[in-house]
Amino acid sequence: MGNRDIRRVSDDSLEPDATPRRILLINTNKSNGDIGATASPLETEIAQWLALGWTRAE
Amino acid sequence: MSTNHIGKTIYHAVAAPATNTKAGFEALTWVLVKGGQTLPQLGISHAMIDVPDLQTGFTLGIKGAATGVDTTGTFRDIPADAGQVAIRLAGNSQSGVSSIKIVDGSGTDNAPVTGNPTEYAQGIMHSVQVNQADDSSFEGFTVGFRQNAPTVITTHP
Repeated sequence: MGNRDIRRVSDDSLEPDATPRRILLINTNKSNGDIGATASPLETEIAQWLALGWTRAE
Repeated sequence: MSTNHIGKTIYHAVAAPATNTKAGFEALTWVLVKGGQTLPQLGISHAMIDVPDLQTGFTLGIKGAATGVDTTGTFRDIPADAGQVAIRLAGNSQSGVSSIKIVDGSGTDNAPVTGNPTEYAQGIMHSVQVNQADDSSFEGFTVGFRQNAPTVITTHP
């Protein structure tokens, strides 16, 4: 009984956020445009941006 | 019913998105370009491949590769406008890589609001030319925009 209560609390805390976060990136590849240009893609799409030469802002 | 284009504004970003999608374009950092008079036309043109047939005597057309259109935007001069500075810099830069956003705004002074019709396109800015000086015209400039991916038609976030 005690274990079941603990699991329910844990599941609630893992509920996904409705709106994905945005991550600030800086361009380092001139084929993408100006070096230093900024973009804020959704966290769910971050891999495609990083693969093209965008890097996370400090 | 047809409507006119009054109220449309153009925005510029100095980069292309990682994905040619609404989410990709919304991630870019946009700057309003004031003083727009004629905006670049957005669209693509397909090459045609002619396939003749001796027996039928009819040349069949099949669809070839797409090319983005290359058109010109015209602006009246607004000194120190950040958007005009950015679009001219892009047009004079080595790569010219840019994205544009055209919004049919419905807010105060036609400012964009959430849900307004919006078009996104990526390509290159080039061929910046200031208006020829004479005694009967105004100061301004033109800039070419060659589209490098299909237009994304969506709504303003």
